[in-house]
Amino acid sequence: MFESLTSESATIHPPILNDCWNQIGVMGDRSCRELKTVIHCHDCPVYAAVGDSLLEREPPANYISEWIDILAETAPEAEASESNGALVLAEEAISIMIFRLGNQKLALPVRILQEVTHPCLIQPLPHRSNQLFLGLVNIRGETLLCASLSHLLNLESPQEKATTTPIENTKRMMVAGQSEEKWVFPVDEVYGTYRFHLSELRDAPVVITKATEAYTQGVIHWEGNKVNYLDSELLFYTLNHKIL
Amino acid sequence: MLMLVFYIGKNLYAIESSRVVEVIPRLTYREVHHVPEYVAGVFNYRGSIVPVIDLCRLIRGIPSKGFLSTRVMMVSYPQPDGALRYVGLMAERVIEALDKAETDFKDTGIQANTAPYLGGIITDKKGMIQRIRLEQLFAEVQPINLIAAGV
Repeated sequence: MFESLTSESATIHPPILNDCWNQIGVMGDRSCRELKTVIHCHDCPVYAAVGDSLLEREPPANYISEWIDILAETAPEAEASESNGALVLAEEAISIMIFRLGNQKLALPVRILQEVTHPCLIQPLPHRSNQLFLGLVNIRGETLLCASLSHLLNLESPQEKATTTPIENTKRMMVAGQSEEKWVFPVDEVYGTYRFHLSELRDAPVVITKATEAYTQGVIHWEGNKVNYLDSELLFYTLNHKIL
Repeated sequence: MLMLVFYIGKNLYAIESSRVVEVIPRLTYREVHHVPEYVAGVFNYRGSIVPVIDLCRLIRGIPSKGFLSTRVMMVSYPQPDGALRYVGLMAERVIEALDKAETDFKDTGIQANTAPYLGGIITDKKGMIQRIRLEQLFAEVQPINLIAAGV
């Protein structure tokens, strides 16, 4: 009986392990005839069929219990209203990149940002590098200046945070600035870009207790946290005057 | 008309996607007794108790496999009083949707009296796809749903 069961399942789900894209496809010698019509293996039905066959297996542990919780908790109405930021009109909205320095959440407008990359080597400049100006970095072959935002904003140093957050792979480098004037800031974590209505931007508190508030243009509430929206013009102005 | 395609054993079936709310993974369900065997059970679907019908068991007599590709199509149907009620339809390899014209479905010439929900057949490069008429299926399901919801 056991044999008949296994043979039946074998006929229904034949093991498709033909990785033709590595042999004759774009990763191999490109001799596959189908490439003339489908251009790339990613658009080939054979490739798609192998992808589908990945689902022909037992679900991993915790998968089912996780989904039971998800489907039991979330209300269907909540999903429809989730895209609150997506329908904001362009002229009344700002796109911002939210990131973390230590335990502070900060934001910069997306329009002044060039890219976010993984951490790379900072080459210090003798007699010039200090706590604010960290050195030079190589971003796609371009030598750019690297400055410490946490020192400029007078936030607590990341070294103190290292004991509490052992996960270091969230660190990123943010490239900001316009064509001639680019700066690279190492940050502890980048959450992504979000759109906010201008009315959601609250004024910074009048009582200024730390130097960070001087650069804060406003405060945004995001996922239960207060995010400092930085004044990018003042930031670059200060950087240019302090370093160059 | 966009059709959601799935497998029952080796055969392809399809339902119209306009009634499908979402496709969710197969979960473990709370058993309900004294109902037909094709009722896989009930579960908490976003705050309401919803029954799940195993289409493989209903049509083929063999329960769906416990694979990742075995999924549950959540479909809604109106009650006589106008309220929407949900039911989950479990089937194997729910991974594809096809756009086909309603007129392309050809009558099979056979009509099983015990399964009026089995509709016309369309030929595709994957093989023959039989349509499942949701109205007739709901007529079959309705009494069970009332029991499960405790009405």
